[in-house]
Order: sequence, then C-alpha cells, then structure tokens
Amino acid sequence: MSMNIFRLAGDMSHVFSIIVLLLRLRVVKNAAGKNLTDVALLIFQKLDFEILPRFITSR
Amino acid sequence: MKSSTGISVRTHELYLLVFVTRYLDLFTTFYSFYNSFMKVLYIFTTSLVIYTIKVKEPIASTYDKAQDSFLHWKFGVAPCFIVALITYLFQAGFSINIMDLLWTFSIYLESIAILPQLIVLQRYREVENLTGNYVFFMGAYRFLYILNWIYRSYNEPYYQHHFVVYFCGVLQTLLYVDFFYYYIKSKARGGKFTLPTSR
Repeated sequence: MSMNIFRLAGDMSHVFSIIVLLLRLRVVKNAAGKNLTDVALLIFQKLDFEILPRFITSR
Repeated sequence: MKSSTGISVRTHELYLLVFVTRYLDLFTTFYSFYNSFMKVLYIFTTSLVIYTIKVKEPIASTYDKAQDSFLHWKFGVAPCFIVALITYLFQAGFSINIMDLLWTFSIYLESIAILPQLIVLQRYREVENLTGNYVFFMGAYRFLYILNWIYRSYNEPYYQHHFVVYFCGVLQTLLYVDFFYYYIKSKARGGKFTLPTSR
C-alpha cells in the first residue's frame, strides 16, 4: 500500500470532516470571540503537523 | 447551544456499516501503523457521532427524527447488498470469500451513504456553517481518492484496477455536485448558505 499526496489529503479531509461534525455537535459557541471554525482549524493543524507525522510510515 | 439540527444520524449509521464491513482485514492483515490507526479512528469517530446524536444529552433531544426520514435500511442497505451479491458472484463464481463480498458491499454502500444527510439539508434549506463544511470535506475526501487512484495507476508497478470502486467513487462524488455548486457559490458570495428546496 503506497502513500501519495492525494491519498493523504483525502484521509485528512475525511478526518477533518468528522472532527468538524463532532465539534458542531458538542461545543458551545465561545462568546469571547473564537468561533467554532477557528477551533476546528487549530485542532486540525495540531493533528496534521504535530501528531500524525510521528505515526505515518511510508513504504 | 448544543444541538443536532440539520444533522442526519442515518448517514453515519450507514458509514459505520461501511467501515465495519470494509475493515475486517484489521484482524487479518497488517499494512502499516497509519493504515490500522486510520481504520480504527474512522470506526471510533463514526460511533462517537452516532452516540452523540442518539444518546448524549442535550444533543439527543434536539435530534429531529421526522426530518431525517430516508429509509436507509430498506432503500440503502438492502439494494446495495443485493447489487454487491450479484456483481460479486458474477466475477467470483463459486469461490466465495465472505470478506471480499462484504468489502464490495461496503464500496457500494459508501457511494450512497451521504444521501440521508443531503436530504436533511434540503429540508432545512438554510445550512449552518459547520454543517456545510463537514459535508464539503466528506465529498472532497472521495474526490481526492479518485485522484489518488489515477496517480497510483500511473506510478505503482503492480497496481490493480477496481472498476467497481471507480464507478462508486464517481457516483459518490457526483451526488455532491449539486451541494458543491451551492456551497462554493455561497462561500464566494458570503452570508448565509441556503439550498433551494424542490417543493
């Protein structure tokens, strides 16, 4: 099984979609200004640039 | 306010069935940590979505069962299973591998899994920002997979074409075309994201 940018982008898109949905269901809009999309983006960035690079093996 | 208005749980029930039937190879084959991790992640997060909408308060009481009306077992699961069984038997003959059959079924089922959610969006007409985004990324994922298959077919030496997968991937993406059109239009325009109703 090989990895390429399209596969990775597709998987990330899928995961991001579910994260956005879960946020939409569980999180209350923060009156202090940060809206839900910003929170979602922050979490996505952390996942994509800090956590996942440690785990992905390329063949 | 935590609520589930505009969200279809039936779509996610279909997705859970897709992943559970597709990832049975979690028990038989190890490809890579990434591969196993993603499979478990999809199953876990989809279950979490279903649990959140159906069980967890305060969201569960806001779930609008009347709007989420697509009879997904009768018109989704059953036809897909029959089509999968027919096409699988056609190409497999008498050597039936249950895991392969279920995998084929999962491919067909995924192509229509978003239908209940699209139907709910049509009923509400006005689509919330995050709901629209989540549906957009769901659609984008399979489209990106089509590009992935094209890339692999040119670059991978022993790449096997799966025409059922291509057909279903294209069908799945086509279901989103209508949605994509209004989504992009509303992003370009700004303001509220509304879908035209057919009534």
